[in-house]
Amino acid sequence: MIELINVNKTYGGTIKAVDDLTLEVPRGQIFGFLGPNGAGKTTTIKMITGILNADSGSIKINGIDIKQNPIAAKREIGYVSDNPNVFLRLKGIEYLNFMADMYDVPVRERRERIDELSKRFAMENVLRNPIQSYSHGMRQKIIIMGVLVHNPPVWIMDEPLTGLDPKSSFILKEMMREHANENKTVFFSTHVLDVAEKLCDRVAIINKGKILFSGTLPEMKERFEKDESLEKIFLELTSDEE
Amino acid sequence: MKNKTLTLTRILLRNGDGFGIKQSNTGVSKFLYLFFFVVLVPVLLFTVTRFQISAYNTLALIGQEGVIVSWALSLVSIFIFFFGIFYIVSSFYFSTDIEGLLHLPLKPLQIIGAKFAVITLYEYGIAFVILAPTLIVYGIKSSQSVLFYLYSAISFILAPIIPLAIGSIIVMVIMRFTNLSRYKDLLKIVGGMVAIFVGLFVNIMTTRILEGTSTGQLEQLLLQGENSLVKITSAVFPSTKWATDALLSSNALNGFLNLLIFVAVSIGAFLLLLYLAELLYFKGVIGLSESSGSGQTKIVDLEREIVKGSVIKTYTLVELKLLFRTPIYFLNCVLINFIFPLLLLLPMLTAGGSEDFSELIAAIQGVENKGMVVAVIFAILIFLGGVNGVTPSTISREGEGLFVKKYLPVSYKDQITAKVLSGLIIGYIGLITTLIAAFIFIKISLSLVVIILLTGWLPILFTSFTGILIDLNNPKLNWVSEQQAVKQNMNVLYNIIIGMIFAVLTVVATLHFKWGFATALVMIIAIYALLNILTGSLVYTKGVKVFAELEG
Ligand SMILES: Nc1ncnc2c1ncn2[C@@H]1O[C@H](COP(=O)(O)OP(=O)(O)OP(=O)(O)O)[C@@H](O)[C@H]1O
Ligand SMILES: [Mg+2]
Repeated sequence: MIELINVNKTYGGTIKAVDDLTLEVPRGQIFGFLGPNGAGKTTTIKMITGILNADSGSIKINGIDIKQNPIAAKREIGYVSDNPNVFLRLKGIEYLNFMADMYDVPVRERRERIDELSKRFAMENVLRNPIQSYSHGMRQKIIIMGVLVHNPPVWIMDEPLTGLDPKSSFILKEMMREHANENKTVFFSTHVLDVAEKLCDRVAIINKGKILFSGTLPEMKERFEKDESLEKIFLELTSDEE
Repeated sequence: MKNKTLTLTRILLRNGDGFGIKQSNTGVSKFLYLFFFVVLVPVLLFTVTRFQISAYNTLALIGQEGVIVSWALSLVSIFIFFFGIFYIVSSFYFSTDIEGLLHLPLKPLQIIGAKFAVITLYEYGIAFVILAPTLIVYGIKSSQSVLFYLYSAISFILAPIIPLAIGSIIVMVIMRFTNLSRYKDLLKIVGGMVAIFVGLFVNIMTTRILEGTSTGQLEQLLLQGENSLVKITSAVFPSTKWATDALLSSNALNGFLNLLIFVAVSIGAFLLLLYLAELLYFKGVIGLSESSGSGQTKIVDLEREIVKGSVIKTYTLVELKLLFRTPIYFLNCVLINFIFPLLLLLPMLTAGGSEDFSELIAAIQGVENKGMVVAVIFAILIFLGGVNGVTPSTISREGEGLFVKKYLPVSYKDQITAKVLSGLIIGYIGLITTLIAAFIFIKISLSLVVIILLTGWLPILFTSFTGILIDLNNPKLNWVSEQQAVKQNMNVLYNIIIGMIFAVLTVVATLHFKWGFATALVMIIAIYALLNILTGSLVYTKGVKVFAELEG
């Protein structure tokens, strides 16, 4: 579970990226985080993961405050960033081992998981190559595997589906569902509304740093009194009405 | 479970690239690399050895031979401190792996501990070149026991710790406070600069304090023999004193005690660093990447801001903007132009009393030496041109983005011109700062200033040409952090060495042929003009071809 209460973030003293945001991401559900470019999704996610500090407000992961108890909070989180180009010099296997070390995964367990994950994502043949030699989608997959190898209770993913081929994308979605079914937390941002509509139990729509809506899809349709597609509602909500 | 700091250290080393060993797989790269290790490094070691042997012999006459040890330790500390501080700023605060580390359940002391370990490992190179020959020369000449060599090994291993810890602490304190501000963009660069200047200042001050010894005292120390001079030479960096005393009296209890103190202080400095990292690091680094923008989201003034410029001009400007706006490039390529003139003047500013200094000025202004003045200034310029590293990293800095330069409809010739121009312009900044420093402190004449303003571009252009030639033939494109493109790029080092060689040749030639002012000026200008024509034509024929064949 992730709780954000009255969270604010201003860049450089003037650009209000996140504006008094309050949001609850419950367990046991897949939560989609939607919003136009520059809406504040990545900023919000980086605050949750401790990469950025919120100016004010509180953020808790499974009840642990990220500011007061950063290490414990971070242990709960697996984070897939929107930029898979960080540890390019490492070989795939080195990266997975590194992540497992950081989260103290026992050797037996990590072997099993790496074995299983690399098969599921069709990566078993490239694990010995440096990440730099991977295609964009392969880089994305190794980062996702890096999270899954320590199997944290809370998954936080910034546009995880970008660049994945249909099969990998299908597997990831399936795994997200399994994870939620184990009463754990899945929170991800995406621009693919069809996916959100089919996959998510809940969505939040953010625009200009403010939450416009947060709830289940049926609630959304009820609220806007339309039986329209998520895409239609999204476009109406985020169009500049000023 | 395994120690996370160690795991992280290993990963950072892997994700870095060792010591730039596999820059690329071309023949040129292998040749340069071989040349470096088979020729240059041995020559350097040999030179240091020869120098230390003769220094030992001379100093032994007055019972001061221990000075070579303290001198070497001080020099190593200062070098490591100076080069390390750039490294620390880049690695702790501006490297790309930070985003990948902040969300992991790691304590600040683990991240800093690992990064510190990596920097320390890299600094052993510098330490080795100076310390190894010195300690062996001293050990053999004064027939030391095994204990001396044991102490030597310990001193070598610990040598980088204190300078780097002090540097790290200065940097962390300053970055902690610059990150508070709203004007981060500017301040993070200024913060890096301030850290470096504070570091230099600390050094000048310590030197000043010891220079406080009057000439009378100095003579007395000299006469005392028994390595009494060491007191002065080892005080240049606070920590070298213990190491020196330990080494010089390795067979006595006093030596052992000093070794204990040295070890204890080194460990203490490291622990203090880790403790401060817990307090300061996250506050300094989190949010550092936030860019402040220009206030409200202003609509671009299309009329004014979107204008057409010539291709070469625009290209050059973009090169320069990237150099100024990327903190790591700024620190390594631009800032150095302000620091080196200062460094070159340091010895003069701190050297002895003001009498010596005015004598020095008088000597420089003396008519008979003016040929040397020209030579020395050109030597400094060529050295500076080599040291800024703009052109020897210009292709490397493109990294994975090189493909952009390949599909742009701009001829490779024009692209090269723009890149050379960027190197020339940055070098010219160094020229101006050097001239200002020389004008104020050495009081060179105004006419000389004007002459150099007009002709000083020649040596700078030359190093720009050699730089781009090296980088075109041996680019380092697959880096993951900007740091690797400029700092851990052998090409930059090669060009620095070229700069140094030509700087020395310029001075030596002037000395050897006893050129006077006019002759020196004419000869040096003519030689560099010729060199420029040679390297320039190479750049525009071979270089263009190589660029065309480059693949990212
Ligand atoms: N490092 C930064 N420095 C300054 N402003 C930033 C920075 N990163 C983001 N911003 C600003 O914060 C706002 C929100 O950006 P954010 O990256 O959170 O958007 P996003 O919803 O993730 O967009 P996208 O869908 O494009 O990924 C934007 O106005 C952006 O300009
Ligand atoms: Mg984003």
